[in-house]
Amino acid sequence: MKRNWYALFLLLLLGAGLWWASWYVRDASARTQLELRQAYACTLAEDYDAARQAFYTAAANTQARSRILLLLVRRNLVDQLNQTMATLPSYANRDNQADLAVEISRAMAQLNQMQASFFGF
Amino acid sequence: MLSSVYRTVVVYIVVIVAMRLMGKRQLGELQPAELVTTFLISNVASICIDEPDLPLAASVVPIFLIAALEILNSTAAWFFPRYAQLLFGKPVTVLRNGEIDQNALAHLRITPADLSEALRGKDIFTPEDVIWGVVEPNGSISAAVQQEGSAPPMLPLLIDRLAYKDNLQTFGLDENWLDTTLKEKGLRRRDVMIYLYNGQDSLLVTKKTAHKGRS
Repeated sequence: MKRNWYALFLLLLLGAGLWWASWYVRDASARTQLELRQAYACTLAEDYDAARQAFYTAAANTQARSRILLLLVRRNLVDQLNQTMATLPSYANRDNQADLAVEISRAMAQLNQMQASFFGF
Repeated sequence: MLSSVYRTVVVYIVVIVAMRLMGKRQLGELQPAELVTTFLISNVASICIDEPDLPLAASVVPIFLIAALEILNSTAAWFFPRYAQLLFGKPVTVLRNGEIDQNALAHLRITPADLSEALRGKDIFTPEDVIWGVVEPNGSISAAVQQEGSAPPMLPLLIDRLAYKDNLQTFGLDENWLDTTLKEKGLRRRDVMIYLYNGQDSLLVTKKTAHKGRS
């Protein structure tokens, strides 16, 4: 009957693991969204150096979080997000405001898709 | 490419751990529910090796979930014989005292050729030698043969609360006789693990008669 305890332990472990994974996917998305909004706010305030630095930091943080996200959601969704994030610093200037808005919208949509891939049926 | 290598190694280890957790039941002749479990695990295991786009968790989580459910399910079957019967099915008698039950064969869609082949596989070349032949829930055929000069083979009358009515009838007995006999021994059906009988001698194994349930 030891196996039953193993099975229950396994179910508990899976439950805890899934709870943590849900938390991580939600938290990673929320953090990236927050970093994007803060960086975009710098752009709107015409502080382009700070905005560029903030977008670089956001891209680097997203890349770092990808190591775990790749274990939990489809790889192409994470890759697409990282590709979009990598382009953002280049648009953080006076001449590319519209492009920057488009790319940030794209990044937000990709974050939503990533969450949907994990939580959706 | 490297990702498929390490994924294969991880999935290989996970499947071995899962099969080991499920125990030897999963490695012998499989009951229908166990066969489904094994198929499911092999399919789920191949998902993330075939599709590198999918996360490793897409295989690992379902494998461990299926293993845990299988263990709990087989435990439920151990505790509740009726549930076990529902889950695994029950053996069907196809041969009795050398006579083939053709209705049972038709019901099971087993051809006489299949039956003969299975008997030949057990070195039985004529059905007349068989006292009791059954198709087990896993599809294999078991046969009790009368050996010359030895006592008739023991047939089950009661296994884990389930009475074998056709075996009782073979000896001209019924369930009332079974209950009365057990009552004389101070037992109820639920106390008995196995009760075998051959018309002369009987073998009764009760549950939890010794330390740690050994008897």
